[in-house]
Amino acid sequence: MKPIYHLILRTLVFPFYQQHAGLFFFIFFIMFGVVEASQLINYHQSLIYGMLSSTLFLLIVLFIWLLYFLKCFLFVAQKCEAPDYHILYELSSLSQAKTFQLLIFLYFLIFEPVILYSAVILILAMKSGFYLPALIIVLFQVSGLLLCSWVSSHYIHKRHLPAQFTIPSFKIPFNRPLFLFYISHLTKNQKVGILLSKLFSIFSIYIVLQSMDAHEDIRIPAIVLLFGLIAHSFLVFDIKRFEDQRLSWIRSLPYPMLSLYFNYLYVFALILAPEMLLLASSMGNKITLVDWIELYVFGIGFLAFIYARLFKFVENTDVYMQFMLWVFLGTFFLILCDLVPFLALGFGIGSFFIISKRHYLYESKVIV
Amino acid sequence: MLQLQELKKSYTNHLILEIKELNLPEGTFWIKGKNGSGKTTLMKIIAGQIPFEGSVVLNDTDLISDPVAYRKQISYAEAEPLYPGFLTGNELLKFVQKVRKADNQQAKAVIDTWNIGGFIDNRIETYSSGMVKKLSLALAFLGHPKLILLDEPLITLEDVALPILYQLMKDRVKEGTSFMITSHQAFSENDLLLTSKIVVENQTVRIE
Repeated sequence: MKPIYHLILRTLVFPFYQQHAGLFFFIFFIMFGVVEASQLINYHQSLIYGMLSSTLFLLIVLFIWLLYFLKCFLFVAQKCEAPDYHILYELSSLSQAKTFQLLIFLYFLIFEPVILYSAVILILAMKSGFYLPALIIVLFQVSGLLLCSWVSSHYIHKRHLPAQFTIPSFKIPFNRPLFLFYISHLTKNQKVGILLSKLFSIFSIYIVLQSMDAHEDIRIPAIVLLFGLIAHSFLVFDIKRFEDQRLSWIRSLPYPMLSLYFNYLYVFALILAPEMLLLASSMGNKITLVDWIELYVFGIGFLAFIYARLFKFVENTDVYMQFMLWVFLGTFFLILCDLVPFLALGFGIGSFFIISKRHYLYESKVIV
Repeated sequence: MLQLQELKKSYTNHLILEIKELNLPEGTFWIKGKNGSGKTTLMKIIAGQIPFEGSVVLNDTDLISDPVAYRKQISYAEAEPLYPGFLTGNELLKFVQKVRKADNQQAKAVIDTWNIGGFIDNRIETYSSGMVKKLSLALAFLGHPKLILLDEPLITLEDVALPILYQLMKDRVKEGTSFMITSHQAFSENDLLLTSKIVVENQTVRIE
């Protein structure tokens, strides 16, 4: 069985972590990067005791874990559908029990970040006598693991049977412009990713708006928006991969560079529309129209800038993560210096310069 | 028609192609070579899809200095085309039609000629590889490019579609369009009137 375990590691586990490096970077940053090193243990203890003692907090955490499990499951399902992964259907020649066992191994490895953190929660729960929340967490993790493994195993073994239900789809009654190709890709293939990033950014903006006084400093919503933008970094990464895999043919079309650039801006403007609508609801009361425009241009420019840098190192997620960290720190500092308009302009000019210079010099090495 | 000068393409210090000079007049050219010899790389360079060193000039238009004007003159059908599966063939066709400024009459003629009307309104993810291939070839004939690059046009294409391809090529040649084709399958003189064969070997090209 060793070669099969090896195959699962190479075809599913490693690619899962590679493809979601941006998401893990963001989570790692939120969990370990936002507090001083000396406060880290206290910070996590407070978080854990919060979720053990508050039912609402625990439910929110379980919901986030559920989204993560769903993301893992959809990743495996998508890979199984991809033509270059049809080798995985060889697993159907094993007994269903054996396939189930292999898939438990797979899901255990890709649930690992959640399982490790849960282990810490369980230790603290047992020490402090929170037995019921501990039991709920164990049952939740085990049932998630078994359910994902069973459904995937069933899918691999029973794919010759017709689907018992299908999600109805509808045709868009107009011809999509180029920027909607990207949005359609996200809404079709990154449903959980969008939900996670939107939940985080909209929730953060909502909380901050509630606590803001009238016409307060623009720096506060700008910093919250910056956290929301970081939450979108893995979507930006995914858009670039989609472009490399499915839109390479556009490179031989006579598309002017300025049109291409504006096309990217439309994509990011649409992605940020929910956050900006939420901010618009406070216009005239807590932020001005000028503030709102500055924040929107800043947000679009920021996403365009990190997208532009992907024309240099799309394959190297480590460098991308380092870049994200530095750009976050730099932007954070410049926001504190009250330079949001400067940042908006800088990201806009910088991204246009990089994209127009690098677009046709870039060559994807993505294996499709 | 097409001039390549001091053209060089490498991947991490591994030389793939080096062409000192290649001048091609108008016509139909069959690019031959073994697997991995660099045929598709050459096609992609001429199609403006991948970076390279040197110069590529088509009808006095330089790919580097005037990329949009250059790309207006070329059209490229990939060997194994990949499109977003959620689009319908018609959406893709309308998109390319708009970019290439092709008229509705030509778009309709392309659909009819390639006999793709029966599935053009379906999502591409429902297509077989042969249907995707037909769609990609149909797109390559949209607009009025001066040079059409067809990378392995015969693979996955059904036999009844071959005469359609040959006839379209002959019609376009009469209008002054040139073709560069890679294929492992031989063409007969009845199928196409070849100007010459270009052999890709030993990291360079020679005209046969």
